[in-house]
Amino acid sequence: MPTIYSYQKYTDQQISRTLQLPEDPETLGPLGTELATIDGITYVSLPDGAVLPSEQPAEIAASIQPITLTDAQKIAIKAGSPHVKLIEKRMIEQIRSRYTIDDEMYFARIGVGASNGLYVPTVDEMQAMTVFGEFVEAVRQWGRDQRALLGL
Amino acid sequence: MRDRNIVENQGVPEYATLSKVPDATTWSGLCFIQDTKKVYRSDGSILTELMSDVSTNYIGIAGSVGFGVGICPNMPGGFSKLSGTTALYSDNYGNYQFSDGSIMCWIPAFYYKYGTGANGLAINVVDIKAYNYYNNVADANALGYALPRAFYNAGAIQPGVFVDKYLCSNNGGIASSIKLGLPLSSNSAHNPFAGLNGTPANFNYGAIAAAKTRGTRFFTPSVFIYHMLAMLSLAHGQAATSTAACAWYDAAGVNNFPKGCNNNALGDNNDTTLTFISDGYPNCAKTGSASNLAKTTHNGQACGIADINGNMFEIALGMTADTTNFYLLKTSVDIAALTAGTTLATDAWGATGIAAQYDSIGATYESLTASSTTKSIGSATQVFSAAVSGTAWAAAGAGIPLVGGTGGTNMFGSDALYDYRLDTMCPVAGGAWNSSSSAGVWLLNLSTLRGNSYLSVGFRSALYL
Repeated sequence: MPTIYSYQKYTDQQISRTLQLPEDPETLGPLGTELATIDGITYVSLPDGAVLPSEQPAEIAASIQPITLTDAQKIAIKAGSPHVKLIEKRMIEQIRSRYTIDDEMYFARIGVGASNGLYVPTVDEMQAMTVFGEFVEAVRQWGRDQRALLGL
Repeated sequence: MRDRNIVENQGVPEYATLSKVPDATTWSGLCFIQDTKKVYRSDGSILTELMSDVSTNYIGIAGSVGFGVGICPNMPGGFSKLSGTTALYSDNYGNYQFSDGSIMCWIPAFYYKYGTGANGLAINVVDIKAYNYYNNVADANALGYALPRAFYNAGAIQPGVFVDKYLCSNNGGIASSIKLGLPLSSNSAHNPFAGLNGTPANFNYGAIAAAKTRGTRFFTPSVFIYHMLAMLSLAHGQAATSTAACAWYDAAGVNNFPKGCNNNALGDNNDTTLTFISDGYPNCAKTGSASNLAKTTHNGQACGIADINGNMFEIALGMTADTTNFYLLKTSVDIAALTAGTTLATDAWGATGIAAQYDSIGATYESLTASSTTKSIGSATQVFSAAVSGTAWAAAGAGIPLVGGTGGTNMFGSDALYDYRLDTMCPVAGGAWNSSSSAGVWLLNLSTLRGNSYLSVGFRSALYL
């Protein structure tokens, strides 16, 4: 389970200070993800096993703390995070790779009709809707897994 | 002050290119003003309007349209002009196409002076003068201006250098600079070097062979070239007054530098409006795929060198180390003749190649202390030496800050300096798609080695005339 840290970035006319993260040996980049800044507080996800460097900029050091996100914080971060937006975009791309928006509308129409008893789908329609539903749920699960990797 | 850049065509008499019309009491003659595209008489009246300033090999005026690229004085074989190559206001100004389809930017030579607070410029302000502003290097040096180390090669002053506009991608076996390409890496799992003609090795040293797939004279750029480009960005940002000629300009001075794919979400850490297109390896971008290309170039214009901040670390030759010292490439060496091994006199690495081709700058030098830590570039005190010759000049040209030049400031993007001294060091520049605030034009990573293989390390090519 990733660890979430919160802190306050420091910026003035001359300098900017952000959380120092451990290095990812595969990419040479930082290991960890800045999720979003909400109301002046920046949230960073550190993956399992990663340890935050002990030396942090003096301007932000006092504000750094590991936290457990509340539901309200999770909702706010999901709304503000470019990473979550990218996950959502990729979920849509995966669905679009197999189904058009018209396909989805078609399944929605017959699904609603079936649920309120106004329409009885054929066997073929039910089978197609089942395949569609299983595919979409797999994509949604992928999205949930990706968000979980970020601690969301 | 008079600019000696003279234009002699378009039926217009000789004129000088200036940033503003000078005081008539101190000036006589004609002057071309970049922003207005007009030639003025000394009394301020307009002689004519030009569609462009077609002067060759002119770096331009910092903060103005066209700054940072220019017209090549002697286009080599295999190159062709694009529509607008010689038109100042074109997105293709200073851009050329090689026979493989590669787009390269011509960077004219120029002189610079880093401000010390005691040399006529404020600390860390950089002033750029056109190459023909002075009669020669000695004259420039006498007035505190230096020719960047990047414009020396094979023992000669270079009038400029071609640099790939885009990171190299695999173009039918050739490492080409093409928009929307899939950037090559030194790792087998991500657009590998080995997919190119001749199967270059999937290690950092493979970039040398990879660059040669376009031609024998093409080479992996040096740390000197990367620092020269960063210096142009600094000058442009300092002189800009709006986003008109510098798309990444930030009047507050906090984020006044080129942006890039660096937030691990196909965006920029400091600019939420910028987006990129994935190359298929999750959060790495296709070359030149920014939603606003000009925000990612060294000069803040579409005519500039793209993806200079983030996306892929870029292999940079010209500097190495062994277990005891740091070394900089001698100006007498032809960088295009460097070879990729560790035993030959022409090799970029190894004791024999170092002895033949490099100057030692010692076990430590200024901010390089082999601390095996990552520092942030920038300081309220002077960051780069203003020396016009010698080791201090060469080290500044390689992007090595002075001993007090780290700590990190907005002016230098808080870009990272990886202070390592490792045998067969192979520096990388710029940062990767997940480098966040440490990425940028000043980033210099000295923790990487010739024999490393990274998903996030690629290269672009360069060419001297």
